[in-house]
Amino acid sequence: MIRRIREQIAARPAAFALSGIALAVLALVWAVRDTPWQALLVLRFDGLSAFFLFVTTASLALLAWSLPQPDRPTLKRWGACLALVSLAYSAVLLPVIVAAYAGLALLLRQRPGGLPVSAPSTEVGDTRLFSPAGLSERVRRVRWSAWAPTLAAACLLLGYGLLVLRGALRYDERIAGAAFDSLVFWFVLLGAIIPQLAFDEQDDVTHGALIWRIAWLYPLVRLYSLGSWNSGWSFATLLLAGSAALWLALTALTRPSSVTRTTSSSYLALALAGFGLGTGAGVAAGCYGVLAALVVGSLTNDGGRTTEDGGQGDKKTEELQATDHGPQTTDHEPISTWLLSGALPFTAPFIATWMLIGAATAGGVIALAGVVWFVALLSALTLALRGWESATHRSAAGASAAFGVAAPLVLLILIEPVILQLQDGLTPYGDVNIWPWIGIAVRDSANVQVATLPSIAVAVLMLVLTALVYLASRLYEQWRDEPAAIRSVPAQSSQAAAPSRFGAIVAFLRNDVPWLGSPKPPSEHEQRPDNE
Amino acid sequence: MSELLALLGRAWPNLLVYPGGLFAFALVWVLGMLQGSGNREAGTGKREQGTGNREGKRADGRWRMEDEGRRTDDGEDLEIRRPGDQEASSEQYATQHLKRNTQDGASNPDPRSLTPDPWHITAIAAPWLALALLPLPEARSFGRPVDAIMLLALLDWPLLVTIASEVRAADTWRNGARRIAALLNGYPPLILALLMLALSRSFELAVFARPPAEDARLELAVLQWLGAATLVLALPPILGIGAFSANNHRKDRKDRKDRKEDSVSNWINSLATFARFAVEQNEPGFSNFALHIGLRLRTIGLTLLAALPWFPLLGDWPWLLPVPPLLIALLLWAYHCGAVRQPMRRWGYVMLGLSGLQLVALLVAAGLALRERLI
Repeated sequence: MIRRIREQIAARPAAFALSGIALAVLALVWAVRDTPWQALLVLRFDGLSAFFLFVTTASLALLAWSLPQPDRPTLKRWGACLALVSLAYSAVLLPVIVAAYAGLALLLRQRPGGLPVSAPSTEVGDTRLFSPAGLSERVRRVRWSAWAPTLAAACLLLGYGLLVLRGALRYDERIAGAAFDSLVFWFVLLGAIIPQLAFDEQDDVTHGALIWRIAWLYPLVRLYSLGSWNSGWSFATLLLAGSAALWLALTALTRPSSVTRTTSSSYLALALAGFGLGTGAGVAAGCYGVLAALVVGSLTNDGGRTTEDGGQGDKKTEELQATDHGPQTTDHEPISTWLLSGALPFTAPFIATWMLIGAATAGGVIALAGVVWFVALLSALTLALRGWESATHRSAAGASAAFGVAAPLVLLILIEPVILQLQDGLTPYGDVNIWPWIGIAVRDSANVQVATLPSIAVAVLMLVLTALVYLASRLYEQWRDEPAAIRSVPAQSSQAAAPSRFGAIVAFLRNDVPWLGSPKPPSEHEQRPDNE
Repeated sequence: MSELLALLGRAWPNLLVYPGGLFAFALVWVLGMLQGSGNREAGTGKREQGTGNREGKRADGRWRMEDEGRRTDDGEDLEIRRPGDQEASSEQYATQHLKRNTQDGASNPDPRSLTPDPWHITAIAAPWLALALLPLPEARSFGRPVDAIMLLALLDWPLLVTIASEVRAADTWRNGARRIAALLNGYPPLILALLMLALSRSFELAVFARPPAEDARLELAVLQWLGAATLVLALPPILGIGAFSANNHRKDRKDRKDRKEDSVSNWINSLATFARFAVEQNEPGFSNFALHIGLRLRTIGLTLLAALPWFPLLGDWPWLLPVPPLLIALLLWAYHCGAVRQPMRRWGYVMLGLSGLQLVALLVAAGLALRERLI
């Protein structure tokens, strides 16, 4: 027994190490829930930093468990990433935070496997170098996702640098609040939004993209420690983040590949919108959105490949792009997909969108509530349409269900300390009521419950009804008395060999839904419906 | 924990009798009866008519689409069945179905499929639970409030499972695509209608079922009634009826025009298609049955949700309480009869215009509320 455990640890040292660290960080979250923990005068762990640290370590642990051996980054690389992120989250000194993010950006620019970060190409020819066509070509060839860490780090340097120049070396100093103005806010906001929009087909979450996307939200949320935001800053954040989420969700619906990657990015954009609300309910929705992005993002660890392709994921992705068709569906058990789709209540993505709709309504930002609701529908439709592209990560699906059903406990343990310790920077237009063992509610400033979700109670009732229907189904099968050969036709048996018709469906949608644009003329490989 | 147990104990009448349970399944049965009577009439009428997509009840009690002369994407002939062939045995159908699937590469039946797919089971359980949570008149209180966001997710679950099943099958993917298109047309006005209802107060369903407070500001009261009205208007695409019907392909519309049916049989046919709201038969066994039942429960749930804000108007006449849902059903049927021959895109523009109006109303109300807050 002990030998087997040793063998397991030897096979996955990073996974075990990171799981242990994640558990330790969970203990840290519990320890700092009442009072922040200060060490050496320059390190400080409060609810916010402990929450982000937990998300990072949990994300790394999920990566370590779900990735196949050849794709796993080395322990050294992950160790460096974790050290830098921990430093950024725990430092009180603003220059140290900026330095940690700069180091993280440099680390992420060095792609594993020797892949160079693309620079603006000069292949268009010297004579056309400064012509409009040449410039356009050069701009088109730049891989913006590769430059996103640098751009974001530069924005953060400018934002936090301005604070330092005005004499605020630490974020917990009184002078930091006085030095905090619109210029600082805009740069930090840009630093937070750029990474959420920059994604690349060849970029891979396995190399830390999800972790650093989450990490870039921290400097913005930390601004609540300096003081409350004015309504213009909140409005700008909501506008940018809501638009980004909608765009990412539409991209996920219509783009042939990188569905789950784009979906996780849209959840992060929604989380950013939640933080932008500047209320207790908004921060709770933002934190929960980060958790949802974490569990959805861990589905993308295989880089869009299916389990059968034996490491041919990149080739397959290229083929998909070339044919403008979606990935081949497989007959995997679709549990992971449905639990990560956000369509089913009692799952983490659904709770994240529900909380944000409630928080936006409580805060009076009704347009954001509508956008979030629509993004949730698009995400659910995307996964229903695209199917179980890579439904192998049951750990992520299990985490989604656990986080969803136990949402009141998650809020109580992980998120409530964040809200309480940032309370000075928040407005009273929305808060969260937690009913342990029953569910949660979002209430507005007049203490009216705007949205209520008795998640645990409803999940138990759903379980009871599912058992009843299962019993009825068995009786139905007995009553029908169908030959086994008939019943044994798999429900999705024709999926494995059926050609992908994603392009045709998108053309169909453009034909029937006016706001998706004008109908697209049929191409050769797209079978137009009803072309008689 | 004790509160959870008490809450579960109080929920049984709601789950098993009213509004879920017996009440809901009785309505499902009534919808099935409507569909059956309509189809019998339609079958006799269509026997003498031309070709086209037909729906008929099979000898074994399952509903399926009659598709004449169509081919699958792979160029393979679909099973051809005329209404007169309804007596054909289920074994014959199943053998052909199995053969088709085997040709598609499913030569080894999966032993797991001997048990029903869990997602098809939840396709009944989720809308059933949603119906049980509806605060209808005379229904017992659930104990803790429930909001429209969760209710809508529970009600839409069978539709998503249906879409996921349909878009993967070679002979039904068009229906899946049409369902998605109908949802994309219908969800913006639906969301905006619910936001209009919620802006004045809350997303809680119990609040939807209360009239505006007497001291409520005028613009919020107007917004609430506008929300209730536009919620009804958003139902056709959400339910997939009329121009948004999943089976309303261009070819069908042309066939119907060519057939020149008399108005009576037309209305009876439309009653059958209106009551169906369900999937084409492409899988034998419980899965298809579950999707049928789930989609009907969804239809009932959404209709009752739309009727919820109108119940307070009949507070003094409790015997008239069935009127709002029946009236909404009647309106939907009338719409279905009138629009079933029209293209979806045209009605998509109507929904887009409706969304625009709702948005303007919401912005005006939100602006007034903000001004009041600032003053």
